[in-house]
Amino acid sequence: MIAPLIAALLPFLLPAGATPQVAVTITSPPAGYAAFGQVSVAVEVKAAEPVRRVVFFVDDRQVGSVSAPPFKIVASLGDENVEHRFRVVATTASGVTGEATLLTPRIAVDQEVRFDLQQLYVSARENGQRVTDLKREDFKVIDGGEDQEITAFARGDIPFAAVVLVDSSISMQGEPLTAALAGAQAFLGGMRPLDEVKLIVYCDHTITATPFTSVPEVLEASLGSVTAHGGTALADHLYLGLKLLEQRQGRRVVVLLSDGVDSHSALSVSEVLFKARQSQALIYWIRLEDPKQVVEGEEELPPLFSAWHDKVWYRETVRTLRGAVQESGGTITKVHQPSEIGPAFRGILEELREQYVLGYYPRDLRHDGSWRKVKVKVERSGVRLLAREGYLDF
Amino acid sequence: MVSASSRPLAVRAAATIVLCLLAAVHAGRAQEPAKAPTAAQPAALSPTPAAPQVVIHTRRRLGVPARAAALLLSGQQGGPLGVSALAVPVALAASGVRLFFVVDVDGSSLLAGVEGPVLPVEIAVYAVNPQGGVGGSVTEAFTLDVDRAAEYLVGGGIKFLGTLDLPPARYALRVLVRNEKTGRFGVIEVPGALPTGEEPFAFLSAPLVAEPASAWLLAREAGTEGAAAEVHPLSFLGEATVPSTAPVLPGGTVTRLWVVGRGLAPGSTNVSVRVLDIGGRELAKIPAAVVVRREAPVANATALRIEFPLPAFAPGQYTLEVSTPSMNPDIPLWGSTRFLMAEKSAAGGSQVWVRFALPASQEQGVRPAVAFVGKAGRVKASPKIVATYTSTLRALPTDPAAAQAAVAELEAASLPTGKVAEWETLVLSETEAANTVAAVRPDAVLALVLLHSDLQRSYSLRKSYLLEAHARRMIEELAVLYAEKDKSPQAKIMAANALANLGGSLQQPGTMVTSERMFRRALELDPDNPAALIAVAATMERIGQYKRALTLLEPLVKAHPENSEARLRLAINVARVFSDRRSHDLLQVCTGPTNPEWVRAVAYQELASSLIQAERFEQAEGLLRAGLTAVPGDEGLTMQLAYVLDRERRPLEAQALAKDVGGGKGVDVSPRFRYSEWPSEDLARAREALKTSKATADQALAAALGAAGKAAGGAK
Repeated sequence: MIAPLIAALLPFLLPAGATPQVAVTITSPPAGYAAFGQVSVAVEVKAAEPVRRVVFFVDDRQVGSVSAPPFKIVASLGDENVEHRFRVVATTASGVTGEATLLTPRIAVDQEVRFDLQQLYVSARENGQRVTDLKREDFKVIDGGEDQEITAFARGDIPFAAVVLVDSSISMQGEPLTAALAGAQAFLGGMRPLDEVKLIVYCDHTITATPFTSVPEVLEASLGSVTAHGGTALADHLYLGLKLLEQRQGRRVVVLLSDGVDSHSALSVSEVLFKARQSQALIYWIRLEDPKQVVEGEEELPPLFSAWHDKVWYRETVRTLRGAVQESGGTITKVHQPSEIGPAFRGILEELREQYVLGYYPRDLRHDGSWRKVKVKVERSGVRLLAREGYLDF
Repeated sequence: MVSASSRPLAVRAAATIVLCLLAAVHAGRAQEPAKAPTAAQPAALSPTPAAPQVVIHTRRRLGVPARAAALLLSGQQGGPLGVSALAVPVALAASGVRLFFVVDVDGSSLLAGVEGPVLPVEIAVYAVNPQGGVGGSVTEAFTLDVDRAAEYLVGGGIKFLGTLDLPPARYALRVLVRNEKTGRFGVIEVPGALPTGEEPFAFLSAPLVAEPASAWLLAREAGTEGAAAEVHPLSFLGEATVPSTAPVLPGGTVTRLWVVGRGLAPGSTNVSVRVLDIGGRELAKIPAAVVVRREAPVANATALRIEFPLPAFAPGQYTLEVSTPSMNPDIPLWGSTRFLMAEKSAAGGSQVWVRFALPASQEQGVRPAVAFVGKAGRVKASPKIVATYTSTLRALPTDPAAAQAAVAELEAASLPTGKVAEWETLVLSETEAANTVAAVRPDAVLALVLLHSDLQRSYSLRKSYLLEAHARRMIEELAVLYAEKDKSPQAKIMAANALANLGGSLQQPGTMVTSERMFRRALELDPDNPAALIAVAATMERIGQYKRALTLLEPLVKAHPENSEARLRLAINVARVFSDRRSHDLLQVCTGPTNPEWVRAVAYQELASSLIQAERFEQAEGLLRAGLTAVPGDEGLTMQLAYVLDRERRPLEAQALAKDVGGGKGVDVSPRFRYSEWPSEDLARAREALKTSKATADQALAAALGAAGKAAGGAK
């Protein structure tokens, strides 16, 4: 009521010839940086009168509008390496507009990239505690039986791209699923600005899959309406996660929350093992375990009756999955109570923050798809290392 | 009492083994006359027969395999078999102590993973001293007939009662139960202090809560007629108590139990009870009243019957701890047991099969056995119930809802306590009325089958478990009666449909064995019944019995070639057993457009899977693309195609496919999950056939009752 009144009176209040100013500044995304995927677009608007509306355009396409501060939206840009033009138009109560534009560049591909650079992500522990003071010269990498020169070394908070796979089959009903979603939320909440996560909630089919994003709210929004039902297509979704990570740069991580009992996948775990080796992603498995399971030697025998598989198959599947995790340099965290799920997620996040990255150029690559074994050693006694055990030489 | 045997007790413990089977709520056949125990004499159990036999073969064994021995003598407890136990000293002398022990084995966990018709079980009870020496042990192995025993094991279990004579020492009693075929085991240590033979000592046993008195069934091993009766080790309590190691107690009621103690404060009536949660936190402390004191066979020991109001907590597992002061006022005595809190309204009805064996003789392998009578007497039909039931049936053709309500009321009134005798009386009465109807119009019995089917559904929804079990029994009895009396092929088909319908309603944990039994009974009446054939085949598949599944699916597909689901299951199981071309051909037929979409999807996935395993990726790609044309958007086919493209080194095409997956495109269940569910389409057809027959059956019933009424009037 008041805004239109002011708008009507404004021309009579200002000096003749003066026009109310509306200053619009795009504060996000930052200028000069390429933009991909889900991007937060934020603006500051300074005006002498209330702002009625702010409309956002990306590449001349309206992507959203806001009528009250904070003037911010999330826009989906896709994954292509292209320029993007952001334009924001703010309109005041009296109809005066102001706008701002921003052009984000594409990444220039004008340098030679050595695709045969191998990067190893290594965790180090001593007496159960993480070791964070190792130096480049402490490490030794043996690839294909030969010592390798470590040409790149880093430690600490290296950004990652992760797929978090949450099992929401009927066996997760009740407290386990609640704890799983809470744990996933804790993981998402621990993301840093350059981390990217894709969340997939699945049972015998995909229930929900978010895009890769660094905006936790986008991920958390998909957790709201999940209920436990159906079977478990673990192998299918592990394959899916590994496949979707292919296009992400840098450190690639799969976090799998499941009891390891695959009952409805079209792919087998051994087929997924091929993909795991090919992708070189770190696989972390938070394994829900029934404390009553029999342990005979190293084999777990889940007490199941299934139309699809028998005990032998299940035993093999668990063994293969365990091997895939170990080969990738990841870990298996066994939990027996739902209350242990959250700490398990946090533990993985902490480990990711404390890893070393060793880069080297392997010698004598054959590019024949064969498996090349890799071993990482450290001079200091008592230190235990966890790293990828090899890779497919394509 | 401990016998002054010349046999060295340290070397060999004499044992009396009592074997019980704890049954699910389903009555056996009528009991034969029995002599009920009286309070004036020890609870001697007199021989009787009559219950259906669960074939039990026993064999004595000296010792256990090395691995089992390691488990027994380690400190480990656990394992996938649910086992609980208690022990009570029942005799004491300078030469040692006699311990009476009870071991309960959870039936469902015992059955898990069992394949084949027999279930070999081994139980070992060892008394181990702190030095690791074995003071005494008993090992028994026996084999159960799965087909007969499984029904009682699911939801029930096996109970072992026995005694060990031990030389003076302090012991821990360790119990190992093993499924000899699968190797699954449960090992526990009996909690609480065991008495030594050394003086002085004080103890209080675990609370002894009798199994519900509502039902005892009998078993007799062939050739044991005339064997002498065995005196129950706990007969000094004045009743043939068979205690439970993990009793089910209804909250909000007065609970009664026995404890046996020695070294109690003289004349003490100061007994209190604590209820603890699973973490040991005290939830309630209640004073208990001592209502009976009796001398126990252990010198200077007393048996106390106590009662107290058990508070109502949420159903679940708790610990009940009984304590009382000892002669040393600073040292209280306590005994505890875990228990399950049930809702107050939960009906009783567990049935206990009891088989006692005389003390082991010197001769190897000789195990004479006696069987015992429970509390049932001869059962007859009740004329009153017959008349009332028949009267309510008159309304069935015209007002089925009223008739159903009236029968429900009659049945509830006829089972006030749920005892076996009441139940058998009701069954006999309703069956007698049905026989009268069948004598006039055999086809009318179908109406009664349908009535009890509706009642079964109603009771199930209301969670009236006892009445629901009765309804199941009546459906089975009446369906068989209908088929026998009517004799027409159509009657057999309808009777089989009714049994299959019942089997379908029981396809859930806890009633699976009864479900399968209904399907098999249906096949006895109608060997070609599709609902029963595919249901039993699906059961066989679930337990890895693929060859047996084939024996059911082959005739089904032959008789009903239009049955897509049956063909799909046949194809998949042929591949499992034979891995031959025939499976491929069957699957190809399943991809045809006349098949339901989920059948087509699974068929394409299975065909693709075999090509992928053979690394024939190009062929797999063609097949998968055809599959996605037939079943657009199927996730399983999409995943497989993406994988194949990856293997063909076309990662970008695979990536494009992977990006499209997900988001819940209106899929409730995947085709593979649909396959793993119980088959439902044939059952639906069976139900529809029954529904269509109802009107005709009701008319037949009206005619039968009218004719029967006239005949009764004429007779008068």
